[in-house]
Amino acid sequence: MNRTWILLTSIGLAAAIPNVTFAVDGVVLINQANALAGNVTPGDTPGFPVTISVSGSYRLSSNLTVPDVNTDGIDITADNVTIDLNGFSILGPVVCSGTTTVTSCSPQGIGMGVSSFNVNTAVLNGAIKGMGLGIVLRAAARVEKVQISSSSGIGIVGFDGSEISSSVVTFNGAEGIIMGAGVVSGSIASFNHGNGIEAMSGATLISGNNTSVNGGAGILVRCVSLVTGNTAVANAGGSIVTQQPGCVLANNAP
Amino acid sequence: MNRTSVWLTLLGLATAIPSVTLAVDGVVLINQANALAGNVTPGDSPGFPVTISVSGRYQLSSNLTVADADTDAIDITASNVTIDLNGFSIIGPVVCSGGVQKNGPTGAPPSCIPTGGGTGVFSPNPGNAVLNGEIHGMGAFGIELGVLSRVEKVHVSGNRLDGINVREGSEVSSCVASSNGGNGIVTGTEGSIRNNSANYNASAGILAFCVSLIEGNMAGVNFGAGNIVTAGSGCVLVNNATQ
Repeated sequence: MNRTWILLTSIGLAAAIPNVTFAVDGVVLINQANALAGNVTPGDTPGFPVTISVSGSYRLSSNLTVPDVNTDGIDITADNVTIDLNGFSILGPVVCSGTTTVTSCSPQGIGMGVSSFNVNTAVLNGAIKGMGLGIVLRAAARVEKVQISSSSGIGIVGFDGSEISSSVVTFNGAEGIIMGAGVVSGSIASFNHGNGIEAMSGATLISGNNTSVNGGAGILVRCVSLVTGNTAVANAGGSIVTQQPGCVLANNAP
Repeated sequence: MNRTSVWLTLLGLATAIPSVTLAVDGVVLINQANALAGNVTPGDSPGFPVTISVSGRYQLSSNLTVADADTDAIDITASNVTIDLNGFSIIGPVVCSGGVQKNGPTGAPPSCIPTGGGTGVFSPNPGNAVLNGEIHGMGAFGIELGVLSRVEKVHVSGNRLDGINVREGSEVSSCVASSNGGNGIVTGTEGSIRNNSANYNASAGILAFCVSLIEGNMAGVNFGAGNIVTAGSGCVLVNNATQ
């Protein structure tokens, strides 16, 4: 093997090795630099979105700034992926305005802060601001301790079997949270242009949330669902609005 | 003692020291690497299951992935052990059809393969707790614990049998049990089952042996025995919803 061949082989190998930095505990770190470089997982092209094609634990080690409103921040194409935002933010270009409830957002777009087409995704511990949509996840997902604001559209979309907990979804250009047959608990949904929390599949547990000053209902839910221990104040479309009979409402205020 | 025997003694000591990483608060960290290395506590052999033989607090610092359906992820052989999943997941190889899939409900009960006996966290001992994370795709149960146990803020889905199965006097709260191949949540007598969601499981959403307190749960679209099923008399049901 001559030196030229060795060099070409080395270049080829280098290009095939994912641009991965591991934390000391084996979690894969994602930051703006390796997002722009690409190859965070196989198939991830340089720039945004960062594509996560391998199950595992991932953690931000810097903010991620997404250049335009139609580009996603992180796309997940594998099952069983945990994204720990680690206190950092995914930032897009959208700015929303309004004296209390959002009246307009600009620019409008469909870029998602975190998007998954697969099951068992978790997004934890950070913020997503100024995206087209904040988080859109499929079934059996979990969003915990995440702040979503100034999305031009919906803050969080969760499918059946998912849970959104201890999160703050505020000042978004459409609904704060749309949930399937899952759980929304201990969260704040306020100042959104549409409903604070909307759950139209039935079989949803909505517990211990605070919804206020939304342009639609504080909570809009299809029955049978359980709505307990929530506060809903000063929402233009009503406090807790149920569709079809059979919901159980307990210990909500007012 | 000559130098050779000193080295041999040190080598012996080194192999006897558990492969333990402590968090700054003294909690023992468990991740895939030290699970595979073994010796997390005395008697823990390399690979899965991680055996916890010493009372105390343990916390995941990465997901744990178990390769075969017959192997447990964590076996607790002591009492008074708390496993904080710390937002991470225990992931087994089982895949379920039916229940809820990524595009939504299928209208069919979950059916899971391959068959196996592996459980996410297993203990026959009293007084243990599992908190704050997810357990998917195990060959048998997501969680199976003994009496006086506690399971809190855990997602269990796509496990071949029950998502959570705990014995008498245990507490299950703020959990999500979805699309499991058995029941979502099973508790023994004198249990407390509060603020859980149990949907799309192949058998009951919640199965509780009375007397137990069942409060603030949502159970819907379960395919087998019913949404909330009580066995015996005297259970107290408050502010639950079933569909």
